[in-house]
Amino acid sequence: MSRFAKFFLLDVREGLRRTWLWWLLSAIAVFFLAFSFFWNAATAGDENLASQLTMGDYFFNLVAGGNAFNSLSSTPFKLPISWFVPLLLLAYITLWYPYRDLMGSGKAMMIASGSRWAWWLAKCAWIIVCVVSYCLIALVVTVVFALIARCDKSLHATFLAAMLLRFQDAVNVDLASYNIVSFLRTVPIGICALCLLQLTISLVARPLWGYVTTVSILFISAFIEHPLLLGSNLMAIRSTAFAAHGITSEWSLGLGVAITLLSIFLGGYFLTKTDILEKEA
Amino acid sequence: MSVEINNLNKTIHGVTILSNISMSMPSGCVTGLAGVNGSGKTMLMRAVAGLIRPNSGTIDIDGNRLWRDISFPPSVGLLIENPAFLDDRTGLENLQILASIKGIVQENALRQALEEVGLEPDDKRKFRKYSLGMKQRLGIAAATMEQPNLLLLDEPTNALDSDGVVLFKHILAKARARGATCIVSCHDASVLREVSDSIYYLAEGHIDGYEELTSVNNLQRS
Repeated sequence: MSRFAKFFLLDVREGLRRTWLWWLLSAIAVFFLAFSFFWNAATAGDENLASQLTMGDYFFNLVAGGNAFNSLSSTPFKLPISWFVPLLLLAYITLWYPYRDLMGSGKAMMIASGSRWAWWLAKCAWIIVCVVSYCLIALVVTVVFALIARCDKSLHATFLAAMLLRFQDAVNVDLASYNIVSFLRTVPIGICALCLLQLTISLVARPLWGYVTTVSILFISAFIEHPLLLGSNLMAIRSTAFAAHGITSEWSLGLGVAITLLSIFLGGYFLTKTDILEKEA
Repeated sequence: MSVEINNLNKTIHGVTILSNISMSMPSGCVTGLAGVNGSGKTMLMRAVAGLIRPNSGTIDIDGNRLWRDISFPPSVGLLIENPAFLDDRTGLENLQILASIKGIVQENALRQALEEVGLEPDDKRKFRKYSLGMKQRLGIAAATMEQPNLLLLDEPTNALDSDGVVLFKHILAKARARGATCIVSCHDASVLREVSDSIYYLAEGHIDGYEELTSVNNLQRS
């Protein structure tokens, strides 16, 4: 077995041992967000609108994001909490393990392996596995909730969801003709890019600065709409799936892959040139 | 495995940590490093382990230059400052995980390494429940379990009781006898003089003195 594979298997095992409670919390958070959306629909008007929601609406609730700040708009700016919280939670789950490993037992293993790159690439692979697992957990929890709520199994987001999330002014295309899957496929790579960028900054500076960078990117993205901001690319409401002049899924995929590869390369290069010394977090 | 250090310099955040260090450490010898706190002993060990990159100068290990030909010494066991292990694993499990990277030793060798430092291989206590002395013993076991050709031990007698110090001396003598290059730093001057073939005295990052002890120690050993 290669050195990379040994590190990677160890990381999957040890990483899970150290973060399993956070994974459970994530599943609960996604369940709560789905329930909150359902409750809004059930209590929004005189009639129970929850029964009219589709599975696509539940996914839309998770990844919709929010409108950018617009001083001319009559609608007040609202931070998209249901989009913000799951991303911050995942960023936090992936924040500490690689750094603590490097400052602790991982250092001796890296020396034993004779390769800094093997250690680094395994950590990058671990992050990717975490992101994919997180997306799968969110997917499964949302599907299970939607099935319990006896929603329509269609993967099309409806105008009702946009209305409940107060996007009725922003959505200027016919939602019924767009399948949310076209946007969802860009999400994992975008989140991978975000978490790997955080990993690289954690290595170069400290985990605290890595997390501050992630929060800043997401926070700025909530206020400003720009195709170069990772956060904007992670918002369904700003994609061509829901907005006529939105960001295309090809662009989002391209940007995600570019930042992912750049983070992996720059982080690995930095590690091969830098001192490994204990630093406070 | 021979270690040659030539004109090594290291500065961190503008502070000179190592200054113009040149040393030669042949196989089968124990080289002692002595000096007060902050004299550069630990940093020198880190440099030889490949953990810090010199600003100038070279470290050659069996003719291979660190940071150019190799990233880390190919066969090294090290204990630098506090032993770092997985908190929620037993001593044996920690050694198994570390040994799985190279895969060159079997479980009986790991058990033997634990017994040599006075730890019970089947002890079910997790690392976080270990006393300081037990952690130090586990660190020495981890450093020596694969019988490395280069052994770097920074303050190995820290937190050890008198029995532990005796065990450490025995382990070091075995490593020396099989031809390993051993570099040891120790605050206890009497222990350092007893185990070393030569001692480099460090002060403020540079070599302040050198003492050859081989003849004295050989006489005592005989």
